[in-house]
Order: sequence, then C-alpha cells, then structure tokens
Amino acid sequence: MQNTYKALYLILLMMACCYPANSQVELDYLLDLGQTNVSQGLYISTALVSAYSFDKYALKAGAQFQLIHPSSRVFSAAEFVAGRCFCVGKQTLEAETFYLYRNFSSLMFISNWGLAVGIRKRHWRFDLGQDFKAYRVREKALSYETEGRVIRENFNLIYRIAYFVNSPEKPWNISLSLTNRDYFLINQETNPMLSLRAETYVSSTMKLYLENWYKPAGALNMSAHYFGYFARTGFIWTPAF
Amino acid sequence: MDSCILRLSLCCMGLCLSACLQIEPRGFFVSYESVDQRFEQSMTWNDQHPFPTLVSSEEEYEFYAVSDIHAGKTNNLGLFLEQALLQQPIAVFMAGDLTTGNANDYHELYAVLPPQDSLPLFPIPGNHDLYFGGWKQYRLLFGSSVYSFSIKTSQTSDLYICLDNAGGTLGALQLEWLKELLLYERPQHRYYVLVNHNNWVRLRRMLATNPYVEELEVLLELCLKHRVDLVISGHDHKSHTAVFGNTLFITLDALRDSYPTPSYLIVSIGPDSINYSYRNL
Repeated sequence: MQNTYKALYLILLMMACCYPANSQVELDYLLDLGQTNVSQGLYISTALVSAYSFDKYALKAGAQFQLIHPSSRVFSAAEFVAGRCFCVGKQTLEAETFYLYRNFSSLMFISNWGLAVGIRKRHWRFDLGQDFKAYRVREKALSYETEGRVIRENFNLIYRIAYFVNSPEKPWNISLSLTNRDYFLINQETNPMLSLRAETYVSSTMKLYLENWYKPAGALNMSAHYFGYFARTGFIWTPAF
Repeated sequence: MDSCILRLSLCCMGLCLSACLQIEPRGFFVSYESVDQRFEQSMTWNDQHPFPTLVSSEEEYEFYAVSDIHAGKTNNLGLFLEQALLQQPIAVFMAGDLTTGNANDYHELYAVLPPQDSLPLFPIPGNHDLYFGGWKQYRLLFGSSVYSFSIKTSQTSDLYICLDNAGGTLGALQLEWLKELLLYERPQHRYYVLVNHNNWVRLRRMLATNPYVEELEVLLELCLKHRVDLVISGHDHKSHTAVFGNTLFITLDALRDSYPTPSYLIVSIGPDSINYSYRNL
C-alpha cells in the first residue's frame, strides 16, 4: 500500500514540475455516501483525481479511500489514465487507456486495464471501450493453500450513454447517464448503472457537482432487484497559473 | 441529429423488450418482490419445515446437479430423472430456471418430479422462475429458496448451502445469513458446497447478468477465508469450470429441451477429494 502512495505522490510531483504554459491541471475531489447490499448500512468514501493535460494529451491519476466501510480498507482503489484527443472531421474523439486497481481485501485484489473512446455531441455523450479484468490472490493468502491464483474476465464492454440538458458552453448542466463505469469501478457490461448529475460553475476555475447513482442488479436477467444507491458531491478545480 | 438518436434508441429498446414472449419487460426495471422478502419467507418456511440431515452409508457418495430446465417442455428432464432414479444419487440439485415462471409451467414441472422419498430433490429459483409473479408458484410448490443441510457419513459431515441469487444479488439479509453460517458452521464440516443460479465469474461473454463486482468481491473473499470447496451455478447454459483460491466453480449446461448438448453434473465426494464429470443426455 505504501508503494501505491509513493507512486501517486511521484505522479503529482512530476505534474507540478513539468508544467509548461500551454498545459492545464485539474483537481477533482469527490465524496460518496451510499448503501449497497454488501455495505452493511451507510458507507462513505472519498477520492481525489488529478488530471494533467498538455496539447492533445492527458494524464490522470486518482485514489479512493473508504471512510466508513465494512471491508476496513482505507485505501480502496487507484486509477491511472493516459489519453489523447483525435480530430475526425469536425468531431473530437477522446481515446484513453487505463489501469484500475481495486484493493478490496487483504487476501485478493482486482486489476483492470482497458481502452475507451468517447465523443461529446451537443446534448449527448457516448463512450465505448473494452476492459480486461483479473481477480488475483495475494501472496499473503498462501496459507490458505490456494490452487488458483488468478481468474480473468476478458473483453468486457464498457459503455456510457449520457444526455445533457444544456450544451457544453453553458455554465450549468444536468445529465442522465446509463453506464457500467464509474470512478474506480468497472462493472460487467450486463450490470448497468443509472446516474443523474447536476453541475454548475461557481467561479471561472471551480465547478461543483452533485450525482445520484442507482445500481440495479439483474436488470438484463429481466429480474431487476435493488443493489445499491449512492449520492456523490464534489468539485473540479482548474487552477489558473 | 439528437432527435434521430433518441428515436433510434427508443426503437431499439422497444424491439428488445418485445423480442421474446417468455420474458417480462417490466423485469428490466422492477421485480415482483425483493430478494430480502424471499429470504424472510424462506426462513419462516425453514423454521416450520427443517431440512433433514442426509446420511450416506459409505464414505464416498455422489450427488447430481442440473440447471436451466425451462419447463413447460420436460423431455430432457424426464430422461434425466429416469437415469437419476436408476442410479440413486444421495441428492439432486436443481440450480434454477426450472420453469418460465408461468403457473402452468410450474404445474408441468411438478407433475414430472418424483416423490421426495424416492429421489431427494433440492431446487432453487432462477431469474426465469420469478417472471409473471412466479415466486408465488415456486413458494407454493417448494416452500423455500434459501436453505442449508448436511450430508453425514460415518466419519464426517459436509455442508450444502442453497442460495437465492435469482435477482442478480443475494441481498443484504441473505448475505449476512451466509456469513454467519460460514463463520460458525465451517469448523464442524469437511466440505462446503454452495449452489445458486447466477454464475459468479463471467468466463465468457454472455448477455445474462452476473453479481455486481462489489458483491463478487465479498463472495470471493468469503470463499477463500472459509475454504468453500465448491460453488455450483447455472444460468450461462454452457458448462465451464474455474478454480480460484481453493474453490472450484462449476457452471452447468442447460437441460432445456431446445438446448443442443444438454448434460448433468455428477459430483463424487470422497474422503480426500471432490471429483466431477458431466454426463450428456
């Protein structure tokens, strides 16, 4: 775990040192409060994601921490993203590759990596990608005489379809999304989540947002059951240097 | 452009939802009852009808498992039951999607099943069994969707836990029940076997839903910590196996009449190991 902290710190430090004039830093802080079938009541988590963009390139690193959660793991996930924008005709296509680490147990963890592309229209946003997930048993679990150390779920489809009330130029927006990807979590393609988001600029460098997420289980089995719900609030700060 | 996308999306959704008469579009949004309600009703039934301990006269015994029968049509089920009655395994697990959820199909299924004293059957519901208010029929015929029982030999005892994850989740109450069972019962038993409908790990692409990643994390950790030996599922309609930690995950072929290669699972429980094979019908 200490190594992960060090890696995050180094990335942030590198971003701060290599800060040319035509680049931009963005800090996204978020706080989740929710309940799921596995959370044993209310859970609270918080996360910090920093993004650094230069020309058409972008780097992103983030970490999630559980404040109240039955798993008793404070550091619960980290994500690293490298992206690039491409111009296809009049459209801008955002491509990214990512690595996601979920530190959900002292005995095992999940590593995800994948690729995704996104396109933003006036009122819509579409994202599509592929994810390769591996559930892994840690060295610590050797005392359990484990036979299988890894299990893979390959070629999982990532998707997001979002409708925005306003076009991107407006200072506020409300959007409704259907997706299987969130910060630090990629569900199987058959487990969509529904999200309602409201966002507004409170100053030229600060945007506040509020999200409500509903997680149904078994929707594609045509037997949808409640799995979880959470509310998220956060801000995105884009410092002007 | 935006209105075109909206129309196209609505058309696709309409086509998908009306594609099959055997499913209920309302199930995409909401179920008839919550998994917690089914769990509570099952526990009440279990209190009134405790499951007996099965006894094996030999140290090694066999049980069978089938899944995804999807009755009304019961030709494959009939063939399987003939073989099972002949071989007399100690137990037969029916891992969900026994019917299409319709009351008539439940009656078709029940008419084929042999009496419990000639072949001990242990059914659990699948997602299809809940369609069209199917839980009421299931409850009427089988009573409980969540239960555990043990099989004893002269030397030891093995615990079998049947779970209801037909809705894609165990729900909070059932998960707590499972955790307690694993914590307190595990030391008294040699092998631990879980049977449920939705396969946990998605080893191949499929349209049907598996448990949420967050739920899977909890379940996999429980299996490792408590040395669960075997998890049997259906749902995928295609057999496959995987080992993770010290748990063997087996997914069953479908037994439905229209399935091209129906098979059932034979598990041999021995003093030192668990062996399994599939037998084609």
